[in-house]
Amino acid sequence: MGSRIGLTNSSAQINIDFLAGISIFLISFLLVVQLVPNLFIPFQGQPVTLHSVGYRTSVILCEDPGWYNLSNATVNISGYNWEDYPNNVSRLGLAKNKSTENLSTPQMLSGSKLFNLTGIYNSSDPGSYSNIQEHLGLTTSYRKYDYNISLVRFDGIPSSYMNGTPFFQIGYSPQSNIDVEKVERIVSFEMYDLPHDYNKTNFSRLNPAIDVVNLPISAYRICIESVNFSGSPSNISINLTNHSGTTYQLMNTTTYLPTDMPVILDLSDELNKYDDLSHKVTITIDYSNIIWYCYSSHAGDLVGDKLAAKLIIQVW
Amino acid sequence: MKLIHSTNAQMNTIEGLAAALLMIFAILFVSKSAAITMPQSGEFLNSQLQLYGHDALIMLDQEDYNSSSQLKKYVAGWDGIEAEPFNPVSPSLEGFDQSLRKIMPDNVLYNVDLVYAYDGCVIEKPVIYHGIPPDNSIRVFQLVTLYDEYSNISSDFKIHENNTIPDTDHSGSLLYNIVQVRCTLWYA
Repeated sequence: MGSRIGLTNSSAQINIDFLAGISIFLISFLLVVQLVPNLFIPFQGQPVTLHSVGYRTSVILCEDPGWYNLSNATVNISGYNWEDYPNNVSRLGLAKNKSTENLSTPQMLSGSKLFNLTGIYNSSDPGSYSNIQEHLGLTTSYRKYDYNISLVRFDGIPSSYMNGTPFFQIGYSPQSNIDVEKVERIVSFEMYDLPHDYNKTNFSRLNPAIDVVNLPISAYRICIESVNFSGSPSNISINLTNHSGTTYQLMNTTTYLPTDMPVILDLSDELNKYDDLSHKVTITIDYSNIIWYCYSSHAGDLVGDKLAAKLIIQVW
Repeated sequence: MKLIHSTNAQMNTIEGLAAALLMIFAILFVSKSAAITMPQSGEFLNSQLQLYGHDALIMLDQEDYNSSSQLKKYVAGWDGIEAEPFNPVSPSLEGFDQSLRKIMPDNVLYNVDLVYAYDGCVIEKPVIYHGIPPDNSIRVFQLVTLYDEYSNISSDFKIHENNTIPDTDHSGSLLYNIVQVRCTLWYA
C-alpha cells in the first residue's frame, strides 16, 4: 500500500508546463511592475510648472516697474509709481521708472519700491502676505504658490542697513521636505538709492579723518574729486587699526595731480582681509589740499557706479 | 514517467518563453529610449546659468554717471591683446574680469570673446580665457555700438590706439563698428 503523501505517488503533480509558464509570467510581471513607475519620470509635471512660476515671478519683479489703478467716484488715475499708492496696487514690480519717459530699466531696481514692498508686507493688515501673492500672479485658479524673496550680497550675506539689520526679506521660510524652485537674478541700484554712509571733506573737522567700519563690508569707496587750492601739493595716506591695536598701512602718502582726478579707491576687498572676531576696524585718513568723499554700504557691491546684489526668489 | 516523456504541449512552453522575452525586450526598449529623450530637462538646469550671464552683461551695459556704459568703455578701451592660456585676461580688461568674478558665484567659470565684422568676415578675438568650456556650457551675448565721435567727447572714453577693432564703414558716417560681447559660461 503506497503512502498518501509518499514520494512514490506519481499522480496529481503540478504539470511542468504550468510551472514554467507561471514562473515566466511572474518574472515578467515583476519586471513590468518595476519598470512602469520609472517610465514616466521624465514626464513629471510638477518641477516644470514650478520652474516657470519662479522665472515668471523674477521677471515681474526685475523687469517691470509695476502698476497702480485708483478709480472711484471722483478720480480715475493709474501709473507706474505704485509706491505712492500702496493701497491701490494692481501689479507689483521693482524696476525703476525712467524719469523722462514711462519706460523701465531692466534689472535696475528702485530703492523706494523695494522699501514700500517691505512696508506692505510688514503692515498691520493680516492679509498682506496673500495680497502680495495675488499682485505677483502667484494665486491661480487651481492653487496658490508660496514665496520667499530676499536681497543678498554677492558674499551671501543679506543686504543690510549700516547697523547690520537685513532690509529686504519677505515671505515664509520653505519647509525642508518639499520641492522649492529658486531663481537668482543679478540686479543693480543707483549708488545713493540704498542705505549707505556718505561723508564729504569738511575742513572745519579734524584732520586726519577717522572712520570705524563694521566688517565684512560690501562697498567702501574713497573718491578724490579735486584739489582744494591749485599749486599746493595734494596728498593722502590711509592707515588701518584693528581691534587689538595693530596699525597697518593701506596706502602710504601719495600725491595726486589734478589731471589724475577723480581718483577712485575701492577698498572693500582690502578691508575684509582684516576681518577678525571683533568685526570692526578703524580707518585713519590723513590728507592735505584735496576734496574727497567716503562712501560705504552694507547693501551691495559697487560695480562701476552702481550697487549690485542678487534678488533671490523662491516659490513652492 | 509521464511528466518528462509526455509529448503533449511542448511547443506551448517554448512559444510562451519566446513571447515573454519579446514583451520584456519591447518594454525595455521603450523605457530606454524614453529616458534618452527627456524633454528639456537639461535646459532647466542651465537656465540659471543663462540668467547669470545675461543679467551680468545687461547690468554692465547700463548707463553710468560718467560714461554711457561700463561695457562700452571696456570694449573701446581694449588694447588689442588677445587672451590665451598663459595670459588669461587682456591687461586692459582686468576691471571687466574683476567685475564678472565678483558677480558670478564661485562655481561658475566664463570666457569672453569680442566678435565683430570687417570686410565681409566675422572676426572672433578671445579677451578673457578661463579654460576650455565643456559641452553643456551656455553662451550669452550683448551688442555694443561704437561711434567715431567718442574720441572727441571725453578722455575717459575713447577707442584705444592699439585696439584691433577696425572702423568698418566709409569715412562719411559716424558709425565705427558693432561688437558682440560674447560670454561663455559653465559650472566648474
